[in-house]
Amino acid sequence: MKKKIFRSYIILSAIIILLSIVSLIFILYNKLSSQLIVSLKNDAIYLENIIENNQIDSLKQLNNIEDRITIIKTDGTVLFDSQAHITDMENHLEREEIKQAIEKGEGQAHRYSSTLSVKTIYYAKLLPNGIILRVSRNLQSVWSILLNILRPIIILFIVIIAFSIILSNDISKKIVSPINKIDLNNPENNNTYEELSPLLIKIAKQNERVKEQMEVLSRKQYEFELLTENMSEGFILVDKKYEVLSYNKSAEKLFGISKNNENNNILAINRSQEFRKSVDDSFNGKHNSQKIELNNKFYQIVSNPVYNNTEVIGVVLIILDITEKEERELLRQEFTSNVSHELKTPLTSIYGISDMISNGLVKQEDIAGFINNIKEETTRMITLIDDIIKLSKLDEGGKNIERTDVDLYEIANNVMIRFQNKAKSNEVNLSLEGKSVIINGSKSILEEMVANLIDNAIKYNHPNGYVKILVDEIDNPFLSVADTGIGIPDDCKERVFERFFRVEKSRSKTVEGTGLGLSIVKHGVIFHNAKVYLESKVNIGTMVKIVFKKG
Amino acid sequence: MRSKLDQELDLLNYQLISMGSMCEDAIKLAMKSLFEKNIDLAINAIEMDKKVDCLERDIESLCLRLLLQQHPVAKDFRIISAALKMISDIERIGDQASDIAEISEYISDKTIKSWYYIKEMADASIKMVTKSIDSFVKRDIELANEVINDDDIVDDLFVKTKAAIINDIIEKSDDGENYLDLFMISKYLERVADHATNIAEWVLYSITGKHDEMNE
Repeated sequence: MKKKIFRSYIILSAIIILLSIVSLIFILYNKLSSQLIVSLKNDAIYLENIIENNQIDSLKQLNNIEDRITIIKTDGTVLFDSQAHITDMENHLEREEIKQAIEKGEGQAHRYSSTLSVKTIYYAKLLPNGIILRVSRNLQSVWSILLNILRPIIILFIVIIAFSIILSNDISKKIVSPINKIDLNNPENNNTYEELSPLLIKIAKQNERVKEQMEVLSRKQYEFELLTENMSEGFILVDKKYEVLSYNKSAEKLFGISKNNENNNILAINRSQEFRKSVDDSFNGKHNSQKIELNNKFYQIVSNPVYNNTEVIGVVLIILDITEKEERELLRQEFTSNVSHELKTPLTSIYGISDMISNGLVKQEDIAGFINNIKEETTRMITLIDDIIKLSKLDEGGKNIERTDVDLYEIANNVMIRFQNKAKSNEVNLSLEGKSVIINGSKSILEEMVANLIDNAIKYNHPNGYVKILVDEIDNPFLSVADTGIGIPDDCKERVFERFFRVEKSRSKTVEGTGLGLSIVKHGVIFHNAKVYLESKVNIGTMVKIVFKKG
Repeated sequence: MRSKLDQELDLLNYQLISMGSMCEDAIKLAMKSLFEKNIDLAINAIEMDKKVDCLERDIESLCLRLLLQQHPVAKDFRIISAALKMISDIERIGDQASDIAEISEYISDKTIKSWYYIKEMADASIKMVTKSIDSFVKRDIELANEVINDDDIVDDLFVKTKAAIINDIIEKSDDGENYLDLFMISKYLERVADHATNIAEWVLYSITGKHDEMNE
């Protein structure tokens, strides 16, 4: 804008200056030439008088004057010249002004010198005494005049440029400032140039359209965000160059993507073999589903190619946390294999014994002993199956189990009496302390829980140890069973409540047990909405405390 | 508008991560095949090494093409030249993995004491490889420095392993080849750690423009 105004100013002033100079010079020059001729004529008249009165020689004294005076005979020979030697001069008969003078009595002509910078104007007059007087004077040519006035012109031009800069600045500011002041959000309410109003109307219309579209877009964006941000599955969008375009919060959480990571490549998120295969396959147009393990958690990666017509332009990855499912699967497998193992062991020995008896390999008097073995093994199996049935009942959520108000102390006492004999044979001292506490629950399940705890406390005890049972109410009703037994190592504490888990790995059966006891306790605790706490130190003892909800 | 060079650098980045993770997989597979005595895993490791070799050639030609055609300067130039150096280290790790996988078939006796140190070494050097690739992926200077420091741990472990093998030979010298193989594996692992260090150094160079060995 500023530049354009400036340029037009400069061009305009240059044209004006040029035109005025040309016309000025033209007028001046013509004026100058005609004036020069008049003065030459006057000079000639004056000189004519001198020549008539004195003789040619007196002219020689006049060599200081501006005019060049030449006297020529009618045959062309030069008689006198004020500025050159006559001997050097040629015949002047062919000169334009001389010819005219001979014909008409006077003549004039102008010629340029060889350099063109000087123009000479000649005036010749035929005197009555038959000689021709020629007076001539040099006139500066147009170029030299121009050259003379060049400096002022340049100065003028510089002044004009300076003015143009100031003016164009000023004008462009003045033109632009109202435009800048236009409120583009409300283009119709502006007082500005009339010429701009069609544009403003157009802008107003477009504003409206843009607003509408933006609303639609932001609504869609919001919906999409709601959808992706609130789903528990991770979501990652990858473009053709393997760069991550977007991901949701869950993906961020699952993979620990940090926002300021410089490397935007999908492999910067995870580069395990399965993940790479998943991404690569989808870029080749295949749907893929892979399981990966990360930080002890299992994820399922479902990847799908994104098509534009027939070309794959990206990949969508959905990440599902399948840790729980995977763990449950693992538990189920473990459970099945454990159950079958536990059942098979007694069955094998029953089979072996009965095989021996049926083949007559056992002496008559020993049969009773072997039958007793069979009975023991069967009892083990029945206990095991009983435990499993109890567990699976509790697993079902215990919907059909009746709840009544029961006295925890009474239950503990009943169970303790049942275990007195076993405690005696293990040389363990059993004791119950506390007071009567009424809670709401299932008597049979509670009995089972307490029985398992006391059983464990007796089984895993040292000779002359003791088991202390405490039933009391501090804030909440609780029951605790503490022993002075062998304790549980720290790394097993979390696992003792798992089914079939036994601290003693080798199934040498130094201590009888199904490995289901604490698992039943755990499920009973869940059934009663209670909490179980385990404290244990190896070779010092274990304390299990079950805290019930009030009422 | 992103320039052609930028796009190609993205591709280079992707391929480098792929190659790095492949060599990671290769060394993990090789060690697993050794500890679990699983020949399938060993074959997988060797296959993986071949893939790493292929990818090395691809990346090499990509780098050379970029250098010749795009005339990269400053950081871009550093990234490409560092990549050229890194791939040879990565490829060497792949080779070591393949070598270990080959030997793993012949190692029988796992009751000897030095076995414990081999495991330690394997864990430490695999961790270094993972860290060095991580430092490249995350452009993490700290992690790269960690790798460089970790090399001392592996070097120490190598000395210990050597001593343990010597002890084992003194105690029970009937199966000489077994010990030699074990010693070879420990040496391979030590080399793997060295290559991981090199990778970390080149990562540092590509980020900061400084390379430790050059400055010495």
